Amino acid sequence: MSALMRCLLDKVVARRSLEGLLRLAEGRDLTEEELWAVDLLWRAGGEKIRLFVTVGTVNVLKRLETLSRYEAVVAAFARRVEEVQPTRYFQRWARRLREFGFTREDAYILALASFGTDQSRGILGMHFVATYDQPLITQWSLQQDRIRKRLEVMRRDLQPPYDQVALPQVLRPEEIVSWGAGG
Amino acid sequence: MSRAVWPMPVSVEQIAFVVRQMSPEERRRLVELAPELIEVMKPGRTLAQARESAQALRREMLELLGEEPLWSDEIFLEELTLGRYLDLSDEERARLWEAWAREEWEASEEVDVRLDAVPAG
Repeated sequence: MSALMRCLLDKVVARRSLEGLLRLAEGRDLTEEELWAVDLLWRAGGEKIRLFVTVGTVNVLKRLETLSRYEAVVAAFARRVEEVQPTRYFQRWARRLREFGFTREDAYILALASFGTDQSRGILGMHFVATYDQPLITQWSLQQDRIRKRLEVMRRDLQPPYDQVALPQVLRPEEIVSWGAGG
Repeated sequence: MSRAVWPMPVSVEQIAFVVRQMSPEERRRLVELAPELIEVMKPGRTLAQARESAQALRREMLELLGEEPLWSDEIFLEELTLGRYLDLSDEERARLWEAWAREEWEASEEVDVRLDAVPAG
């Protein structure tokens, strides 16, 4: 599993995915954003990519699963996502990212995508962050060289395997599902 | 794939120039060494494919629901019905999600990864 691409859903993409499932279960049409978010979930079920969500999304799922009629929706979502856990240096990197002008929450999501792991603690970081926040995508892209240099400086003082930490690509769900398209 | 943290020693234009000078055998070897090149060339996923995925997920959920879909007047969270929740504006749904999520970033506990943890490089 560890060789698969790994993607962290920001809270809006996580919400679009879950709301997309709710609409599907009720028989409603999906918005285009919900459709791509749900497609990303589907791809995770097909073992093409591992999806991760923050503890906040897990908290929402826990509330929803107390209502028995939503168990099917929660199950369809939960079987395709994993909870990301912050690793050592997560807070430090989030503080550095805030110096680049990212909001508090964006800095935490971006930091988690570099310094985040799974339950077995066998991975370090994500390949992608899935977001619909276009200003975030643009800011991340424009400042990429400066951010990379900042991480490079930080990495010099870190012990293995943290010295191998990388930056994620920040993309919209439809761009991520097109990575290795088909199926 | 995540970008490498170290700067590239040559520009993309220089790499392209070298590729153009390569023999077919060398280009095949390059693709073997960098299979990411194949991924880039694949056509993007279509809306029709995404709709198929959505329908497959709908079937999966309906099976778990005993073929009885959710109804608009089902009780949802915060004393809302499902229909009422889904009809709220995006901003209102975002506010509710925020309250339900109770994300406490500053209190996040940091864990150590295993020494053999696989980086996303």
